[in-house]
Amino acid sequence: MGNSSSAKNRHGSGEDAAPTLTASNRYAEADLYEPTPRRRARASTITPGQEPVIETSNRLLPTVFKWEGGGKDVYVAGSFNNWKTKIPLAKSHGDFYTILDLPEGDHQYKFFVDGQWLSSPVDLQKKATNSGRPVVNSEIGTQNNHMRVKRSDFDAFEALAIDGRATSKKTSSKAGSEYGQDIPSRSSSDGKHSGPPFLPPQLLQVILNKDTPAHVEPTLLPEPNHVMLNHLYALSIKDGVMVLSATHRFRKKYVTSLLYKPIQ
Amino acid sequence: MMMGKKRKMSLKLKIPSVSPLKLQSGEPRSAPPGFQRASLSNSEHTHAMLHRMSVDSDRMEIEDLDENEDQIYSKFMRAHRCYDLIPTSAKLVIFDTQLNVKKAFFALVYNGVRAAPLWDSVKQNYVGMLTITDFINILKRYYKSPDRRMDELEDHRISNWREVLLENERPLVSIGPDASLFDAVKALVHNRVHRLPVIDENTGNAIYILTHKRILRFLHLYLKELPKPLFMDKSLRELGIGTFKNVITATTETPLIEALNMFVEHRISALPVVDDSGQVTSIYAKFDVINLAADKSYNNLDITLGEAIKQRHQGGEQNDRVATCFFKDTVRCVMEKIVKAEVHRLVVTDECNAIEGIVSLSDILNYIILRPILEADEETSNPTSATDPVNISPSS
Repeated sequence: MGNSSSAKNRHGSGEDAAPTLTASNRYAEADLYEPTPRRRARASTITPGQEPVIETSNRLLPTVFKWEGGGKDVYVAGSFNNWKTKIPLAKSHGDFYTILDLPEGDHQYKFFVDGQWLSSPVDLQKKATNSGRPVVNSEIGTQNNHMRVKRSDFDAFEALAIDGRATSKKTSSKAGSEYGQDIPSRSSSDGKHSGPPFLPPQLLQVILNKDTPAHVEPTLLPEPNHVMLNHLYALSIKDGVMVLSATHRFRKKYVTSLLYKPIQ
Repeated sequence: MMMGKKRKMSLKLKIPSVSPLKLQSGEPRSAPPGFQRASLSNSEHTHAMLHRMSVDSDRMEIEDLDENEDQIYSKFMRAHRCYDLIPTSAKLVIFDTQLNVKKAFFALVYNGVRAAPLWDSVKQNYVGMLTITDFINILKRYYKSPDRRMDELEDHRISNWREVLLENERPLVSIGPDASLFDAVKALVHNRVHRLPVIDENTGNAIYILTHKRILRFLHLYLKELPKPLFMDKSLRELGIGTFKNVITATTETPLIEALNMFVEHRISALPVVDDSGQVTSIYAKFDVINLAADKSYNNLDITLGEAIKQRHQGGEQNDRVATCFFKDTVRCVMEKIVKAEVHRLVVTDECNAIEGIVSLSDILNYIILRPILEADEETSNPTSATDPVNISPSS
């Protein structure tokens, strides 16, 4: 009987409290990537400022756009569509993503977040550490993000090699890559602070607090759930007396002892 | 029947405002001796309480039941352990010996229990039991008048009280969970105690408290499945079970403090209340004394028994019928009555409701369980008096 309600509680509290991976989020992410060819996943490794490989072709390559700066409604527009349409990003796991099929070559783009045009701060940061030019100044004097889509990124071995170089570089610089040794702070991904985890709900079902039917001997208690065993419960101290209780199993029987002890 | 408002146990989450010792007046109340429950709820209750197990026929066969039907219940009790009687889930109230005496009695009332093992945290052991008899002894010893506060009751710790008792202190009588119920009955009857804590020898933990009532109820569950010994159809008069001489009685005019003295002096657990013509009108048991703690009226013990009994029934059941039986009732009939009434003793009356005697659970258990073995033992040790020396108890 406790199962259904506890599962519900846990789910609810998880969603309220922290951006941990709940089932629904994970599925959303899967949806995002699923319809595209498997190799597309490598697209996420495209980061602005990699060594240019000059190679041109008309093939479109799936490219992931990611906005990590928070906000409600996030769009992206860029030179690839002549800055004409704002393409919405889907929120997933605290960040915003979309995948666009882009031709190889250099692209400028910018995010439109809650009515404001913004450059990706992540890319701006890279400007300092990287020799590339992730941020460019457009003709009208604004800063845009820049990326270069390369066929070589879609070669699995090539991409892995680039990854290896990238992580070795980034362990010291800390910025950027998807995987690393650093534990991301919870608040940065979602902005909300979460408290300590909630008490497992089944522990709140205290058999001593349950009303026993009137005709039953007062020492009889309902059968405890096994997770309640060997937990120490306390009654708040009143009149200098503390009451502690714990339920133990003795073979097939359960004994709930209440110890009355004075507090000096 | 006991609980009104319950204070909640919590994992330090809730902070209830009600004191653990706070009681609503008149509650909890005792089960009046005459209080009879609907038979349905009664059987429901006993079945819920006892982990019902089938009679171990193999074991019973080994003991050759047919050989001597007189010993059938003794053997049944030998074949079952104290563990078998422990309910699947029950609570046990334990007091630290440093606890204030008065608070301890309030806690008994609050939890609806009649006794609690005492834990000595210095000795790290159970050193005794706190029962209603202690409450009566304290009242008897320290009560002077309604105007004088009983400092000893208010301020003493349980350990202080135990020091007072030191002159006639006895070691704690307890039993292990694997001991037979027969040994439990023996311990209860021979030590003249009413609460027998079951303590696990391996861990030293108290597990349960055995009483006459719980043991007889257990036997009663299996009564129909067991062969019936001859004595079950004989009357109390024929077998001489019970007390019929010098029965201590009181009247409604007896002062309460006098009644408490009678409990202690005569080592009795209840006083039948009779009117001028000798008719039983009520009964006042030791257990009723806990009501004095419940409604904090222990400061005036000059009131009469009549008034005390009236208070007992305030705001509760008005059913104040005394559980009685007749001298000519069979043992089986008396057992049924006493189990149903959930009392410790029946008042034996004649047809006119005049008192003739008292029959208690101890009397019954002693007769049907201890006596047959005892008699067989005597025959063994003294074969000349035995009619058939071969027909003896196999395992005593």
